[in-house]
Amino acid sequence: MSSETIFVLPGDRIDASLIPSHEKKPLRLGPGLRHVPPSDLVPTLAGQLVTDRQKNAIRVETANGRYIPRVGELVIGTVNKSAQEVYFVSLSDYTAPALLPQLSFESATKKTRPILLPGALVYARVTLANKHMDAELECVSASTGKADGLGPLVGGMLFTISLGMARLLMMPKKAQQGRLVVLDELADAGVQFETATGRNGRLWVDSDSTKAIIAVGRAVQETDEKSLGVDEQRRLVKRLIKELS
Amino acid sequence: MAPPAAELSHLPKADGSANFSFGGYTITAAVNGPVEAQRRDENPFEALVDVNVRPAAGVGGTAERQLEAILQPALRHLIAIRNFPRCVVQVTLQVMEAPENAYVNSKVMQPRLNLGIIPSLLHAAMLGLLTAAIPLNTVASATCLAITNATAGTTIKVDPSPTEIDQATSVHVLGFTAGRDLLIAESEGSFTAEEWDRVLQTAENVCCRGQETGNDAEMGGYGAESENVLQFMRSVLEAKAAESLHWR
Amino acid sequence: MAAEAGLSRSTFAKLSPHPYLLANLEPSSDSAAPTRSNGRAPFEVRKPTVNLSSLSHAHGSALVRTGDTTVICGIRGETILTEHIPNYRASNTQTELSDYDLLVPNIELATGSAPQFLPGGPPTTLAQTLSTRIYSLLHSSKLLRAEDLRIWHKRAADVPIPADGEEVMEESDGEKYVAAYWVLYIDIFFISFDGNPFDAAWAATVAALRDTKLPQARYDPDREMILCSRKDPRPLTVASIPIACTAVIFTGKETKDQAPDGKFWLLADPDTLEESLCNETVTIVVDCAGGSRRILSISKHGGTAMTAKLLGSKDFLDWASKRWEDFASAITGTRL
Repeated sequence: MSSETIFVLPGDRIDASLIPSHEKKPLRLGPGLRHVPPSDLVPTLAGQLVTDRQKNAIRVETANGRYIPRVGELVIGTVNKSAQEVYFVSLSDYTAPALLPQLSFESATKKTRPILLPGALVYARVTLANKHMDAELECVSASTGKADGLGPLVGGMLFTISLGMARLLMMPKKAQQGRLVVLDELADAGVQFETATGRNGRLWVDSDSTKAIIAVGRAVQETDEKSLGVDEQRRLVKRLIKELS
Repeated sequence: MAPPAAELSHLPKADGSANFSFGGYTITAAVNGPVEAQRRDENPFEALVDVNVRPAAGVGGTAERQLEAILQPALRHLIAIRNFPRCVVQVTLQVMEAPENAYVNSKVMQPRLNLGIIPSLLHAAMLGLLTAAIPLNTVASATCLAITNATAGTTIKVDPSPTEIDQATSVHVLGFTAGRDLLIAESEGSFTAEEWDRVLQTAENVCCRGQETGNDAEMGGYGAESENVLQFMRSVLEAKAAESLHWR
Repeated sequence: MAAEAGLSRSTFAKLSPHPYLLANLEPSSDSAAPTRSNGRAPFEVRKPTVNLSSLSHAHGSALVRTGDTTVICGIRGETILTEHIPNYRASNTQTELSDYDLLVPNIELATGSAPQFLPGGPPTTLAQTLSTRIYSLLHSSKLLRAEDLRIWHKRAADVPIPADGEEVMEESDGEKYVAAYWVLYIDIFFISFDGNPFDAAWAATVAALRDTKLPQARYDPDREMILCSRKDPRPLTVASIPIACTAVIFTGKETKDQAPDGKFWLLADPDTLEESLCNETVTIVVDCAGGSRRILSISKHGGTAMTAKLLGSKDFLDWASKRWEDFASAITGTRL
């Protein structure tokens, strides 16, 4: 990742030297950029311009806003209703529901497919995202037929977090560079819990004790809302542990 | 006049929100979207833009409808509406504070259009849209000008106070995109073609001053003491991005 | 080219109005001049016709027709005693019109004037916006003088006066004051609607105000009311004739992502179809009475094709002046 941070506003001119040029790989445009023929890139969002020269990719990084589905992203959805062959799954409030075929679960057949009631949570991958069509989801890898951790989430609670926090939680530990310690600290303090994060700004937490679930969820939400630093996160965890015991 | 002030993402429930204050006006913008449009309004090719202006006191009337009618086409032009068919982007602009004018009866229904408020409404809406991460084609800013005919000749006042607007022979609101294209023009009063030319030039200088070069020192001419609103928006958004993306 | 595709002209126009208008404006052969779907040249306007005093019960009225847009405006004066005006101040002689709401415009888009107007329901946004624009332009253009709407009265002297000598005595003593005002109810009614409502509605308002004759009114202190007489009504003083000129900008593309040097057409006096195909509109209100051109209002929104340079250009302003002449002669012509 590039060290310099460049802030762009919609319509800004991006200097050609910032656009990665790789000999073989095609240039990949992430969210927040628009290609204006023949060769101009114009930002459409206000945020930091991020270039990845290894992957030959460029995007604009933002932390707020509403989730817009993109292919390949992992999301947590709430089942709204069930139709003949699909579940209607809500990814964010007041948007058109995404479709989850009832057979796209691991080893699901007409007889063995999971029955999900309205309100059930699923961890799924976006397989189709097109502005003219409703998004589609899957809970099984189409190539391997394995669930890879996807599927219904049973028990637990769902918390809403910002898109930036969701991205941070889903990053590999190395990329986080130790900036987010709240979950590790909680675990080190002996709280047992399980989490799943969706790119649509949803955090699912499960534990044996309801108190622990709420403590973990609130801790992440507070870290998110107040943009807590590492020390503040540690202090927050200490306070929560005291309240828990 | 006090420099502009802004607060971003201060409403927890809205997708994007901003508080913008300048020249005695304080506007809170809440932006939600893109969300599903109602079946009977939806457009299969583009997103609808729904602008709602609420006055500081009471419910909106015809004057607010007209402000909406001025702002809606401008925002519609800025938002990449074709990316979100069958959706709606809601922009709610709540007037929190308006400057008091001791010389005018505080009637609910003012006969003249409140032109002075339009720049603040537009800037609040811009900040709201940007914090909601709604794709825009470009950004825009606007300014209000008043021409006063004194014995010493005509003078153009940038960002006039309500009293100055009241005494002016003509009042103008002009909005420009970052690419120096004229986006909004609203004028009333009585003026000549020559005055109109001067107004256009002054407004373009105010809105677009020094942004290509990014050079603050080059601010000359009109209203040099006030910061360019686009530069102001850029700096608050940059600070906000740095804060919320601090883990980068 | 439509015929080759097996479509008749009218089918093509109905199916895809946007490409149809574009094809008309950009004819494939050089011999054909660019025209609009309605047969007009891009800058050609619909000729206005004005008919004054068509309503018998209003104090003034005018019917304005441009193409298929027909508007009738009726003006009715009502009196209000100053003692009934809550915020009345005798010292106020500058802003009476706006402070006491002496001008009350209202616009109605009649059911049946166009297919999109349905019966019932509250006034549409369009009607609300139009009436606000008329209202603010009435005040900002300073079309009317407050003096025409004042009803004066001379306070009787303390000494009781014989009834027959009243007029003689009043001139000598007793102070003159405003006892009441005329309130003008300006009702604008669309009989038929085919685009460009503001120009027609405003022209009808100006024409009707010029046609308005208010009855002679005097205050009767004994009965504390205003008495009017039918004898020689007094016309309002409307010195200027501000005229609104509207045009829309057709960019030839349904998407907004046009090239910066994109071609566009300025379509003057648009009809409903053209209004629905264009995002950007510009309205300029000019008054060229007495040879000098004053701009009273400019309003432009919805896009950026109309540059600042073009908006201040001589061609555009000359077009507005030309349209002013048309309208002004239509308004004054019928009266002569």
